[in-house]
Amino acid sequence: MGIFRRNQNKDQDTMTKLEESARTVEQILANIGIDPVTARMQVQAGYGWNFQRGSALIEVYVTQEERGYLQVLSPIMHLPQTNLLPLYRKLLELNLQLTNASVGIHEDVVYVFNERPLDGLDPIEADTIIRKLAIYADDFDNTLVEEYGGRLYGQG
Amino acid sequence: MASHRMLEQAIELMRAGKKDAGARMLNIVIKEPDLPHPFRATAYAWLAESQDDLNFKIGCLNRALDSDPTNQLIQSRLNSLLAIQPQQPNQVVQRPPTPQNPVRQNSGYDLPNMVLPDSQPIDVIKPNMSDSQPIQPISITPPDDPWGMPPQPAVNQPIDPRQSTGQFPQTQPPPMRSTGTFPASNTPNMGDSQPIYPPNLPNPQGMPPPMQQQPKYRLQQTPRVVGIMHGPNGTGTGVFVTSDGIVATTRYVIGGDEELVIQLDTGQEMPAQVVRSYPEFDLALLQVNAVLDKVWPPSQVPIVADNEAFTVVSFTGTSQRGYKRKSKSQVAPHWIQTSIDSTQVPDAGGTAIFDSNSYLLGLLTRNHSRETGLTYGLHISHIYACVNQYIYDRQQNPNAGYCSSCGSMTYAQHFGGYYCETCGTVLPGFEATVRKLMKSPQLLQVYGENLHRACPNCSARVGFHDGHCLRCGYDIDTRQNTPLNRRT
Repeated sequence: MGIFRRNQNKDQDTMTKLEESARTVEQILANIGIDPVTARMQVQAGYGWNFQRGSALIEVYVTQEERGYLQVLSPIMHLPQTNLLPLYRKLLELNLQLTNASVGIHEDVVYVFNERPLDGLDPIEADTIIRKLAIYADDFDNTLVEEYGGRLYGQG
Repeated sequence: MASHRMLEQAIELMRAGKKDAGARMLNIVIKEPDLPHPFRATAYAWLAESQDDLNFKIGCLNRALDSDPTNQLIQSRLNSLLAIQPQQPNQVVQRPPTPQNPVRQNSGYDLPNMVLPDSQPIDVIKPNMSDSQPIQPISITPPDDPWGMPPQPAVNQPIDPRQSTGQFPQTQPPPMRSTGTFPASNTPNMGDSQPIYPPNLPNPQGMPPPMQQQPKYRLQQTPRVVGIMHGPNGTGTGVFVTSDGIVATTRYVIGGDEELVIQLDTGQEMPAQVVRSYPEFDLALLQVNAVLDKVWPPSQVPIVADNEAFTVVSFTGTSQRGYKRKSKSQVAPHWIQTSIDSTQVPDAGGTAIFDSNSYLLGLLTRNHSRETGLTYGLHISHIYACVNQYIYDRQQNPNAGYCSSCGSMTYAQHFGGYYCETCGTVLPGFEATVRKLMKSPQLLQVYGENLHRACPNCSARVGFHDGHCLRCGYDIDTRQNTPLNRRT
């Protein structure tokens, strides 16, 4: 019983931490003009929100696996059928320049994203991550599509 | 494998002049589904010789190149035929090469070197006055050559009575000069050729006028080394490798620059344009607007013996003695493992290595062994192989540009492209341009984006790597998308 009680406490600690992080994220969203309640998503585990920032869709997740993670990502475009090499080069160059964000590809979608453990995460850093990523996503999507082709994520 | 033996037999038939029988057997071999790509490329190359029809030959070589896109010999052979093919409207003048290591042969299938009539290998004569025979340049012939390429018929044999002329400058080697202190060198008289702009293609934007159009400065003496000034990593050293002003140094010396300054030991400076570089060998070639009677004689020994002594000479005036060290680790033969510590390299690189007879053995680089810190040199035979390849490429494509990011020659801007087809970087002169989407058929061919079969998932024809579509990642073997592996 003692062992179970100890495990129960650990699970409760984890949930508390997740809840704390979720509250922090909702406070950040409110500060940047996003209604956190409207932004909430139904997710299988943890908490999630999504909102529009200009032409970019931003998704924020707080999840728990072995550790807790804050993940902010924005799918910005579908890859074009041609011009891939110059686009891949541009994305790699952008990766060096971005602060607190990276670009990556999964299947045929380009994402701007950031992921970090919840441990040690303070509200100021979370705020910086979400704001910066939203700015990057809104800046890059149209620029990249205009130069390299493809289409904006979610658009026909 | 039965298909290997059949291919061998087919080639023997072709060599014996039995073209019909050889072609029948080659067609059977080509249809083998498990035939490795280089084999298929070789089979198509031989099949091309079974008929005199130019279009048939071009079709076969195109299929050969589809099977083995990195095969430089097939590429160059195809380009030769395309050059004499009567042009149709909107026809690409030649198939842009797949950018690759210029010396590497198709993997596992070593082909003999080709010498086209319009290009001459660089000849250098030994300084020994009693030997008046010209020395042929070192040809990097790989050791295993199970099947050779079919001999190419000379271009001046009438393949098509409507051959075009004047597409490329006619080059004549300069007359052999009597040996004095240094041997004469025969080089293609490329320096005096005027660039030829095909009538349908504009002069590329942002490109400086070719140096060949400006009057040349004649050097009275052959300098042993020259200084490479104003590079991003400090002063370096270089050597003239052709009598029409090509200087070799290291890629590290020039960095990503396109224009530098050459300084002679007299103090005279001349502008130099980077025309090609090979980051994989740490080699760069610069064109100087100068001519000289002879270049410094290169060593004719392809491999430096262990413990062979040499002297390295820097433009800074420093010279050091060293030797080729013995090492347990296997390195490619073009690298010379030296006894010189990387901290002792007197300049940014390109320091000339001379053997005990004052032949040029190579250039010292700043690449060094991680275990010992001792530097590597690049052998002169490999340098000349790259120079020969560059000269040939330049003759075939006098309007090609240079990409300072990856060092390759680039053809994209002539078809309206803004990006290097090798590395994707924005080409010089277009950084400030508003770059609009270009989708001409020629451009797609330059970028290799219409050469591959369509992906069954996304229909893109951009190619595959390791069985995965380069666009959507679809795995053609498992027929599914690769799941996202996070936090590996």
